[in-house]
Amino acid sequence: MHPTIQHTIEQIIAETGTASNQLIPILQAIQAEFNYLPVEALVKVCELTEITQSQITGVSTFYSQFRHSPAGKHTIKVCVGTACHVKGAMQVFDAFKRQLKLEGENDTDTEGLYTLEQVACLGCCTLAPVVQLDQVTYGHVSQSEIEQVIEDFTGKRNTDETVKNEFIRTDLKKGEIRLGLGSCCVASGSAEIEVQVNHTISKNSIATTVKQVGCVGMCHQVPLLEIIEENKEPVLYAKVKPEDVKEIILKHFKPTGLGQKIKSRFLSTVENIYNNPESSSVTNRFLDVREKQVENFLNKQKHIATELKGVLNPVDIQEYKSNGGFQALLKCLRNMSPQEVVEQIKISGLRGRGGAGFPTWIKWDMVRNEQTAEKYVICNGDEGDPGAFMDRMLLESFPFRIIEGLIIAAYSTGANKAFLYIRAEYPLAVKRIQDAIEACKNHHLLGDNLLSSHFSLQMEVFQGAGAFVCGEETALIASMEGERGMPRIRPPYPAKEGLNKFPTLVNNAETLANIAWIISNGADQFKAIGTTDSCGTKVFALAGKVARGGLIEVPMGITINEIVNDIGGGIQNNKKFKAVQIGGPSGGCIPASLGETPVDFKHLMEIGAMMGSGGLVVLDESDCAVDIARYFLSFTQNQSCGKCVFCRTGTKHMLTILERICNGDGKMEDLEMLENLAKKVIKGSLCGLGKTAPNPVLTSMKYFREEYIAHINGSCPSKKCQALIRYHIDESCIGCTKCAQNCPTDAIENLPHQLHSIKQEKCIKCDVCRMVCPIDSVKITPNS
Amino acid sequence: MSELKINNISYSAYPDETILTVAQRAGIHIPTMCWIKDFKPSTSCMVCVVQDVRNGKILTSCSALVEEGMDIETDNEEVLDMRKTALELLLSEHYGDCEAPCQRVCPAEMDIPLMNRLIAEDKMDEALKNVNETIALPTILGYICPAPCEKACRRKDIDEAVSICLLKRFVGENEKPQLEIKPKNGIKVAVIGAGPAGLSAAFYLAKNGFNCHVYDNNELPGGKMRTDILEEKLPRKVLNLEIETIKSLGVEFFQKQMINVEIIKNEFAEKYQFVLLTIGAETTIDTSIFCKTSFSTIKELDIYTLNSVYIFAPIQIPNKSKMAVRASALGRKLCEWTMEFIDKQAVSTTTRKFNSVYKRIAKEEQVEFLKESLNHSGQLKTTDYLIGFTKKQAINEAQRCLHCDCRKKNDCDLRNLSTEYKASQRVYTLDKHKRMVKNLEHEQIIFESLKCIKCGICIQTAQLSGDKTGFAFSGRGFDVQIAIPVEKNITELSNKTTIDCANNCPTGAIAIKK
Repeated sequence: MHPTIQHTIEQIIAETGTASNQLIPILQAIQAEFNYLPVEALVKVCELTEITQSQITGVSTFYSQFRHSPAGKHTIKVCVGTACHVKGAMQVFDAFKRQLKLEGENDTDTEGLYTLEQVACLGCCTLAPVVQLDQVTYGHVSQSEIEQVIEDFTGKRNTDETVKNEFIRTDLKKGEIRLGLGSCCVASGSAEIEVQVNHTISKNSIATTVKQVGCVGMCHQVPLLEIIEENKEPVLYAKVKPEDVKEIILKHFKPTGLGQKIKSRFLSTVENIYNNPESSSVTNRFLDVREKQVENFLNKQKHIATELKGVLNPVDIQEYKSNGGFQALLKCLRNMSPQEVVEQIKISGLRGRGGAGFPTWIKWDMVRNEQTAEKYVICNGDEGDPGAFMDRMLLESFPFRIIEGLIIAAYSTGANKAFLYIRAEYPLAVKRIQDAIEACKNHHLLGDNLLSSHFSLQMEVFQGAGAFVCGEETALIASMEGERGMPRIRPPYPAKEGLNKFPTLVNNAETLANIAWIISNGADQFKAIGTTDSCGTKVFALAGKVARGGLIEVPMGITINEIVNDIGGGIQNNKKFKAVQIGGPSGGCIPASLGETPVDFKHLMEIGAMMGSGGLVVLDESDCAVDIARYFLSFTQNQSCGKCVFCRTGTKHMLTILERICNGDGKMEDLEMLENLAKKVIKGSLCGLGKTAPNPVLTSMKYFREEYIAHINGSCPSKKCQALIRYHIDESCIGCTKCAQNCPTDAIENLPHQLHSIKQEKCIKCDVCRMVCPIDSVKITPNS
Repeated sequence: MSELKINNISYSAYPDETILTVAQRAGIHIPTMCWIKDFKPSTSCMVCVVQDVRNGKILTSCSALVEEGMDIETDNEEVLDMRKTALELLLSEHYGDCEAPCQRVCPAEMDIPLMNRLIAEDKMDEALKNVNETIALPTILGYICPAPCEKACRRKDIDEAVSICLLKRFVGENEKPQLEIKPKNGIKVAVIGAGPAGLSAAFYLAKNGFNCHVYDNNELPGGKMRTDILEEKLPRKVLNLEIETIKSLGVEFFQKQMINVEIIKNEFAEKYQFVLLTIGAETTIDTSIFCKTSFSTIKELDIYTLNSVYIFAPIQIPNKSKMAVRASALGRKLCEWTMEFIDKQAVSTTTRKFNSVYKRIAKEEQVEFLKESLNHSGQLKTTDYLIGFTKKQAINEAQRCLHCDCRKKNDCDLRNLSTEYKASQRVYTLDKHKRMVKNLEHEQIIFESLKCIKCGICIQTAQLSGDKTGFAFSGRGFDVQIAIPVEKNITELSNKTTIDCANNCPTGAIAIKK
C-alpha cells in the first residue's frame, strides 16, 4: 500500500470515527484528498472501521459524487438542468465532447487535463446554458464558443492565481455598496466584481461600506451591484462587468484625494459603455444594461422565507438579530410550551414545501408524542430538482433563519439533535451553514441549556453525496446511516422510527424558513396569505424562456399568467408562451391555455401537476413537448435508486418509447403502451420518485397529444428533435464562410462568396452553423 | 389487534404484521419472489402486490403493515395485471436462456445439456436415466432423429453444433436402462398402435404403474420405423432391443390386431379404463359414435367417453417416419395427460413452461459462453455412421457443450410465475442488449448477474452467515447489479454462503453447478 494512502485514511478516520454510519463523510474526505476513490483506500477503510466490503461497494457506487477512476486536472461541468436543457445544453455538452475527443463512456481526455461531467443543476438557470470549469462559471455558452471558453479558462488559470477573495471593510460613512453573493452572482463573476470594488475604494480612499448580501432574486440580471447613497434612492446596476466597477463607484462617491479627482474625468463616457449592444464574444457575454430596481419583478411578490432579501448579510449574526432574528425562538422558549408551538403551526396552515404538501404540524405532533431517549430533527436541503435552486438560495442567503426554524422545530418536538442535510454540490451553502452554526454556538443559541433555558440542542451538517432520491425522507435517512439511499416502506414513518430507529422529523429547508415568521407575526397573519387550502407563500425558481428569471417568492394562489407575464416580464424574443413545467421532474407540463390556474397545492394537483420543490420553467413555441417529457423522464430514470421494478425498469421502457417517438420511429400503439406503463409505474412504486416520475409524460400527453402524433407521423412541430429535422442554407447566403469554418464535421465546404450548402450525411445537427450565420441563412426544415 | 378484510373475509392481526403474514396464516396464497421469511423485506420484485379497495392503492403485501379497516383483494384483475407487468419488466432485463435452445426446440423436450454434462463426467448411467425421463427410445432416435436440437445449438455460432444425436445414441446403446417403476396402480390402459407414439406411451404408462396393452395391426411392433426405414439407417437389432426394454416393463403386445370402433365399443369399454389412440394415418377410427367430452381444454387432445371408458384422441399424430421424435413426444404426453386426468378429472396442461430466450451470441460473447465448455475444438466427425462414438469420443464431444441452459430452470420463481401469469418477454424490449457475463470461478456456484432481479437476498444471506466477502449492490437505477465487493474475489465466498445464496436466490443468478 502507498504510504500516503495509509496515512491519509488513518487521519480521516481519526476525525470521523469508525462507526459504519460515517461511511459517506469518509468517502467524501477520501475523494477530497485524491479526487477519486482509490481501491487501496477503500480496502484500508474496511480494515480500520466497522464498514464492510459489501457496504462500501454498494454506497460508493450509488452516489454520483463518487468517482472510481482518477479525474482530469480540471473538471468541466456542463449544467443540463431544465433551463439549460431548453437552451441547448446537450449541444454544448456534445461540443465539449468533440473538443476533448472523448469517445464512448470515457469522461477524461487522454492527457488527463479535463474531465467532462453533466450536472443536474448548477443553480444558475437564468444564465443558461451554464458551464463550470473548476470554480469559473461561464454563462450563456454556445456550442460555437467552446474553444474560446477553454482558452479563456486556460488564461485565467495562468494569470489569476493571485486573485483572492479578500474583503476589505471600511467604516460606514457615506452610504453603502451592496454586492450580491448568491451562487448565481458568484457564478456570473461577482467575485471579480468584489475584487474590483475593493480595489477601487481603497485606491480612491472612498469611505463607504461594502456589504455582501444574499440572493436578491433577480438572477436574470447578475452580477448585481447596488449603490446606496445617503438620502437618495438606491441604484441597482445589473450585469456589471469588472471593468465597469470603477466608473460606477466614482459616479456615486467622490474620491478624497486630488489626484483621484482627475482620474475620474472619464465619468461622462460611462453611460456609453453601458449602452453598448450585446456582444457575442465570450468575454462580453453579459448584457450591458442598467436599470433601476425592477418594480414589476418585485411588486407581486411577498417575502416571508426570503424576508429582507438583498438586504441581509447572510453571515452576520448580529445583523440577523438586529432585524428581529431569534426573537421567535426566544418567544417559544420563554412563553410557549412545545404543544403551543405545534398549535400555532397548525393554525398557520403551513404545509411542507418539499413537494407533497403534507401538513407540517402533523409531523411535528407525531414526533412530539413519541417518548424516547433520543429524537432528531433534520432540515432537508437535498434539493435535486434539475430546474430549481430555492433551497440553495435560502441556505446561502438566510442560514440563520433556517437554523432558527430548525431549533424551534427541535424545541417543540423534544429533539436533542438537529441535522442539516445539504447537497455536497452546494459548497457555499454548506460553508454558510457551518459558519452560522459556529456563530450560533458562540451566541449560546445552540448547545446545552441554550439561551439559559432548559432546552439543549446539538446541530451539525451532513453533506449529501448526489442522489436525487435522497430528497425522499426515508432515503435521506438511509444515506445518513451510511447506506445506499434506498427509500424504505412507510409505515413505520420516520416520525416513529427514523434515523437510527429514533423518532425523526424531516422538514424541507423552505418549510423551516417560514417558522420564525409565523411565530413572530402570528399564525393568523400567515394564514391570511395565500388560499384557504394553501397558506402562505411559495418560493419558485423562475427560469426558461421568460424575460426576467430569478428567485421569486409569491403568495399561494397567484396565477401562472401573473408569474409569467407580470413577474417574469413575458416571453423572451417575442416568442409565444407555450407552457410551464411546474414542479420539476415530479410535476407537469401546463399549457398556456391553463395560465389562469391558481398556483396552489389543490389546483396544481387537479391539472396533473404538483407544487414540487418549486422549479418553474417557462417554455415557448420553440420547445417540443415530447422532448421536454423525454428530458424529465431521462432525469428521473437516471436517478431511480433501482429498488422497485416498476421504477427501475418501467421508467427505462417509458424512456425507450419516448426516444423512439422523438426519433420518428414511434407507432400509435406506443402512446397507449406509454400511458398504460406510466399509470403502473405510479401505482407500483414505493416512493415519491417513482410515484411522480410519469407526471411530466402524462401531462404532456394530455395537453400536447397532437405533438406526439405529429412525431409519430414524422415531424417535430417545434423543430427540435434532431432526427426529424434537417439543416439547409438558403439563397440569401452571402458566402461569408463562417458556417464552414465552424462546422465540426466538415459538412459545409468552404466556398468564399458563393452559396454554401450542407452535406446531409455529414451533418450532426449541432446547430453551430445556424448560430454563427450573420444573416440567418441557415434554416431548419422537417426531415421528410 | 386490528381488523381487516382479505378477499372479503375478516381477519384479526397484530399491528406489526404484514398483509402477507396474515394472508399466509389464513391460507391465502400470494406469490412472492424477493421475500424470505425472517429476512428484511426487499420490496423490489412487486409480484406480491395486493390492492386495498378502499382507496385503490396497490400495496406490497410482503412489507406493508396491516391497518385497521383495510379491505384487501389479493387476486382481482388489476392486481393480476400489475403482477404480470412486474414479471414482464423483470423479464426485459433478464438475460439468458431457461432451457437451452436445443431443449427448447426438441419435440421431446429432452434436457440435453444435462445429458451432456453427465456424459462429460463419465456418468453414463445417470445420463441415460436423464434421457429416459423424456425419451423412451433413445437409441432408435439416436439413429433416425432429424436432430432439430443440433440446428439450434449455440455452439454453431462459434464453430459447429454438438453432436447431440450421436451422444444420445451412445448412452442408449452402451448403457442398460435402470428404470424406476412405480408400484402397480391397477388401472388398465389400451394403446392402439405400436409406432413410436404407442411405444412411448406404453413405456411411460408402464413406468408409472399402469397395466398397459398395446394393439397393433402389423406383424411386429415399431410402426413405420420398421416398415419405412432401411436397415442401413436403423438396424432392426436396435429397434428390437428397445421394444424388448418396453416389454420388460410388463407391457403386453397384441400384434396383427385390427382395432375398430366396434371392438372398442364392445370389448375395450369393459376391459379398460382408458384407450389411447396412437394410430398412424392409414388407420382411422371413427370417433363420432363416442360422446365427446369437455374434459380436455387443450387444443392437442380430444377426450371421448363410452360407458366407463375414456378415449384419448390426439388431434394430430405425426405420421412420417422422420417425425418419430414428435410421435414419441406425443406418446409421453398421452401418459402425462392420463395421469393429469386421473388426478384432476381434466386435462389443461399443454403449453410448455415459460422460456426466457437469449439472443444470438455476439462475437465478443463467445469467450463467455466458452467458459462452460471444456473442449474448444470443433465437432468430432465419426468415421462410420453405424458405429457411432467410442466412450472417449463421446466424452470429448459432450465436453464441447456450452451449457446455455439455466441450472435453476426447474426451480426458478421467475420462470414459474411467468408461466403461471402467462408473462411474455416480448412486451417490453430494449434496444441495447447487455453483454452476457458468466462467472464460474467458484467451485460451487455459477454466478450470472444478468439473471438477477436485484432483490439483494444474497447480500442478506451472506451477511447472516457472517461471510467477510459477501455480495454487494453496485451502481444505481437501471444499471444496478449484484457484484462481488471491490478487491474481493468470488472464490473467497465460503461454500456454505454460496450454497445458501443459491438456494435463496429466486432466479438462476446464483445457482449450484451440476
